[in-house]
Amino acid sequence: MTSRARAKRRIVIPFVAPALIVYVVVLIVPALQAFNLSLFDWSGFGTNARFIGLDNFRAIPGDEVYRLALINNVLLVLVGGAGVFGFAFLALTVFPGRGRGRGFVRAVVFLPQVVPLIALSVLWTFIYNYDFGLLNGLFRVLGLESLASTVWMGPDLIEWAVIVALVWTYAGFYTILLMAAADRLPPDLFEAAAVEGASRLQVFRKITLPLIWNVLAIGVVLWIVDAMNQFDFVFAVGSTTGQPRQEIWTLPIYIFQQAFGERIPVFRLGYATAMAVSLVALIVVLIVVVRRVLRRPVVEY
Amino acid sequence: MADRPLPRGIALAVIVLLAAACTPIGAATPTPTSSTAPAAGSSGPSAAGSASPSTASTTPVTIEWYSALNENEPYVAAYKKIIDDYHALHPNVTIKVTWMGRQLSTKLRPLLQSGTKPDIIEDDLQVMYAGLRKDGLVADLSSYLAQPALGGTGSWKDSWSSGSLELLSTPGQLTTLPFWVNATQVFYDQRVFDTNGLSAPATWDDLMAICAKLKAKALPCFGQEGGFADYNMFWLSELTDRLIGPDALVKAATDKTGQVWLQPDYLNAATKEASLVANGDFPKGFEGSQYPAAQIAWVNGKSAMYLLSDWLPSELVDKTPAGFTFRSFPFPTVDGKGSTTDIEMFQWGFSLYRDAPHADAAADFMRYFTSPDAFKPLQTDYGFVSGLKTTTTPKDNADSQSNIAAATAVHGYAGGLVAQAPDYLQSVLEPLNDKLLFGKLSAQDFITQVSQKTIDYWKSHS
Repeated sequence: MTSRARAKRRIVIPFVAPALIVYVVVLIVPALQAFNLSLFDWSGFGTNARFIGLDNFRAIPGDEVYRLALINNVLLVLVGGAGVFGFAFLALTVFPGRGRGRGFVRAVVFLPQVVPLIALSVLWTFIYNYDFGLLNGLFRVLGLESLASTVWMGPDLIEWAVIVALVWTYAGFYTILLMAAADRLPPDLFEAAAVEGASRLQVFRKITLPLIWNVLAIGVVLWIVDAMNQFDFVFAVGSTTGQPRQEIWTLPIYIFQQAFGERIPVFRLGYATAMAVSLVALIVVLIVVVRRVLRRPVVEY
Repeated sequence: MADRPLPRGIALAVIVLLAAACTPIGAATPTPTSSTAPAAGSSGPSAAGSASPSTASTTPVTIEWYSALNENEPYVAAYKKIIDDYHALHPNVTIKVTWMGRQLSTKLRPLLQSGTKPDIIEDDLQVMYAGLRKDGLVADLSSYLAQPALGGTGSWKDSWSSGSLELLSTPGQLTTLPFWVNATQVFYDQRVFDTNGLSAPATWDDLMAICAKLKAKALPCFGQEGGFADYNMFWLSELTDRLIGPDALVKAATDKTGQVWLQPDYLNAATKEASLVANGDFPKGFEGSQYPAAQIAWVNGKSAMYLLSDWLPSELVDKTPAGFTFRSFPFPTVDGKGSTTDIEMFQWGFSLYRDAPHADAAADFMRYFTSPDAFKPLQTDYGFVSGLKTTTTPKDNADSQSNIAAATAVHGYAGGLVAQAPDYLQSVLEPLNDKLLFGKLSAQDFITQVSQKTIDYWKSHS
């Protein structure tokens, strides 16, 4: 290393060090503490934590509720993702380029993002209410009596009802994200396509989608993180009592129930932490895989 | 390398932090030296523990009380009056309450790990049992309970109704003061029974006959919050208690072979529970009902009865239509088995932290809090049913209080499963019980599945 390079390095370090220290203290150290905790059988109250090595991790594959919660998370990622990005694609298809109406669409679809999640969850519990809910009321008005007697929050439909509500809540953010990327595309591309007589679908498939692919890839990663970490919205839609029915548990909800158990005092803090560590690992693996699958050469324009 | 001191410093700091992250759990917390005795040099009740101002300690004392109530709950006003009255009697004693809400256990754990030492902890005693009690962090109150009762006769211990103090205490000790208890009852509006010429049933068959009569009048027999698994469990809990005994669910849940579930009376209980939905005894759509929709519908006449613990009237206090009269009866006997004086009970109350810095003063305050005069407003104004022997009639809960007074035995919710096998209850039994109650599983399939899942559960939780 030349003396000039060494001098340059010395200058960089004071700028990097504060951020690095904060990162280590608030993220790396707690993460390592969590891993440490996952090696113990501990309720969290006393000082009698018992070291059990990797036993908490070994218990995970045999845990039926963990599997159920993981399946729900995967459903959120896949079905919810299809809904969220399907809506965004539809918006991009109907409003290509910088056409009229995009501002209005943005304002409308982004609205759920500015309302607290807890308020939205309460709204959806009213929409789905069997006796006086908006949905059954609408069907009743339309004379669709068989649909009007649907128990949306019953065990058979609640997972799907939650996914629909979740898509409605999150679609706006991802639509805005992709629309913002599309706004950066040169308008002459869309004008040329219009002159050539391309349909909106063709414009979306041949122009918009390939040129915003990198942003889409980032959006998919963000959605995976959102869906895998889904707790508050599902928890609040599924329950007004702190105990949502098991059919809709996600891994974060199961972790919460095992660690804190507001109504049912399980207090398995060590096992819950092991599940949390496994969730982080799952998310990292998913992101790596998705990033590889969605990798495309950057298109210059 | 001499010209690179900073990276070495950073590396050292990082190593220190990472090493700190892997410090053994609880290493920073002093190891307790005693498992039962009150701390702060106290070896039991002392003169300072007396409620008499003349004998109370003159040293200023601040009692730390962590409560699982929220400060905006209506009865907190009565709590505050008790605290003020006590402080007027004992000016040197300050009661500092931290209203932590129902997530008290969640909030308390990091506090305890950081060395905080509360004096009084107030919570659902099942939660206390499964957390603090299991780790030996609550003190034995036996010596304090031997003190004379305030405003009553006999000892403080004699103030409590039979079995109340022992139900969720550490075996061989008295570690809980359940001043507020909730008994499982079947609630009804007196007007509905009068209109239909009904009277409180004593047997399951009588109850089903009432349901048949109400069905003929298109009135569903029971309101039910189907979206709330804990509430759905009341049926299986009561039926197995009457048919098999109060420990029926604990015995079956903790049998790792799953064979106990296959005994005929469990199938009988499941069959009776399944018959409710088959008979149309619940309102349509009940399986999707979310708290408190079903109980509000019930109080407005959409169903006739409601099986729940006796906190129900207090939750409906501002939603009850004029003329509604809360009445209740204990769950009836089933096939001639069980007793209506065997009461399922939730308990809410105090425990003393094992290492409480002001154990004597805290015990004295709790004795005052549970004395008849101090406690009375909580009964008359807020309907508290109490584990204390009392002549005061709680608002809207007179039946429940008299049923508790007549109790010959008490047992915990779901036979004590919440305290003894909470994860099994939540992960295995409640989801299956939901399916049984909703008619998604036949009684036989329920028994087969719960037996198999019990085996699987204990295989993975051994």
